[in-house]
Amino acid sequence: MKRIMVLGFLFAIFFPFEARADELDLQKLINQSLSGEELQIPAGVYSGPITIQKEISLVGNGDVIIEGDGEKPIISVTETENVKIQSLTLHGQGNGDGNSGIHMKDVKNIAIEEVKMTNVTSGVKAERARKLYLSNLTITGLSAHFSEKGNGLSIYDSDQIEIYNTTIHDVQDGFYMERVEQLKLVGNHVSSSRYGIHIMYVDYARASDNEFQENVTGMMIMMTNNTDIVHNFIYDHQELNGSGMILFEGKHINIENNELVSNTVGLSLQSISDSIVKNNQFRTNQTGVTLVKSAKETKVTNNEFSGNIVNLRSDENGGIIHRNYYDDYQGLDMEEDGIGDTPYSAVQSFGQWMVRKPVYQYFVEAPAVVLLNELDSQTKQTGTVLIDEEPKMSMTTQKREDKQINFAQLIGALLLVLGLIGLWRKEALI
Amino acid sequence: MKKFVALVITVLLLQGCGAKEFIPREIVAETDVCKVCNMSIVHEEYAGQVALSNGDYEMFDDLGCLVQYVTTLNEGEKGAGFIKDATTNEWIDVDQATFVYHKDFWTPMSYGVLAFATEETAKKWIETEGKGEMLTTEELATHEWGVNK
Repeated sequence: MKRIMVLGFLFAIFFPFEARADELDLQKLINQSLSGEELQIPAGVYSGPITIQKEISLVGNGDVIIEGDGEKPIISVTETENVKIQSLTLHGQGNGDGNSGIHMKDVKNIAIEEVKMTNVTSGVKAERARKLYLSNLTITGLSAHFSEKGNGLSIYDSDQIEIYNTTIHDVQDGFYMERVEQLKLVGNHVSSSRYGIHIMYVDYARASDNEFQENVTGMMIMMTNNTDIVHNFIYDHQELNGSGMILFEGKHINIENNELVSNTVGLSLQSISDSIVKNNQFRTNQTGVTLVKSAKETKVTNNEFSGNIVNLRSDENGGIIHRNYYDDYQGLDMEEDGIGDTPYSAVQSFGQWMVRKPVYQYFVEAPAVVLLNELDSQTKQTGTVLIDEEPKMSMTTQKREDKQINFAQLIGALLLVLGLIGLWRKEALI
Repeated sequence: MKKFVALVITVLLLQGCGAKEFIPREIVAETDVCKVCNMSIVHEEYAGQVALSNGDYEMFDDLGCLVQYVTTLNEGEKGAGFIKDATTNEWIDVDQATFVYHKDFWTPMSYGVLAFATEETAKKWIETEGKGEMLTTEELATHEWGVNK
């Protein structure tokens, strides 16, 4: 009897029963609730879609899963304000456009926190929203080519949007923002998508402490003014047209203290004016920085270029580069003031060809190209468009270190060590 | 036999001397990016392309980018321009197309200009949508491409 009980207990642990909660009609509960009420949803699996058109807080109490029908968004919030959605899991069906997590339209003051969305074509979509606060969301898209998927979070014609600590992968664009004012993106992580962030026609945006990894391009910032891009970590964007960050047509952009590592192109500036790129690290990219039509009052200063195949390249317009550190600088510092005695000239001929035809990047270390670069550096023929009069002699910033501890691995290793010690002692006693 | 061979050679020579025919090529979502804005082309229904007279193709994600690019070309460089028809999703010649603009029409770069094979289908679109302004190919050059806020 005891054995049966133990077996039953173990079975319950490893194969927990999932409660179907279909007897609770969520939509009915929402309709019956008073305006401003907090609705605590008991743990269980519920059928969607549901629609919210009143002030309400929807809070999951335990493991609450709402399943979509693949036709409509799992939760729709329309023409209302002061809504909170918290601690839920939304599970989509199929791969149609209707298979989305949350859709908001004409809303104000909405908070969505700790919501997990799985198997959805797109995660959250908002149109004409004001004061959105989204935090700790997890969005997992479908396994398909990015052209067949929707966006993680897409927001149109909205203002005062704040998004924190959200993890997105396997979507088209992690964050797609169009015609948005006052946007804040902090501590988010996007991977395995087309673009991590894709913003167009946005005024007053700030993206800080985000991480983008293995997308086609980490950040695509287009037709955007008054933007701060600070302290982001952007790495492993290595496809043919991949870049860590592309900025296209914008002004008053501050790119500061970012790390761009192992990308095809670290940072590409195209038609950017009155902007500054400072204190960033460009490491082990094929090309560190590309400047296209961006010579006008855009300054690249105090950055560090190390381990890139080509540090900087530009079109014939060049750019302003000042007091950066370049690992291929060969000058001396006889005055010992930390600044090289001779100017730094970015090797240009082949760099300019690569700007025109990105596919040329595959010939970057070919013998003929190496010879051309050597001729460039010897003759200084092309130093007129990208030249730093005061190159720095040493790096000053620290590389990012992965401080995360994997506790499972740590405990496993400890157990292994203890086991080995025990075995050794046992053998010693024999 | 000799006459036949001579005829074949003459036909081939004449073909070589004739005007070069440009045909649109298929989009490769994996590698094609817009020549102007660098965006990858995931919304094929708005895409455009220019076949250059040297045999190269340049791809565009939005008609606005295509027009911007064409203005930078020298005379004789452009072979042909193609854009997707908004109703059929088929490639049509930019020079033969009719266009409809409204700020609310979504396109990848938010330029809001759609292309149609005929004037009739363009008119029908305006009627169905209840909004839109018709543009000719010539008017595209003077159209104000920009933010549609």
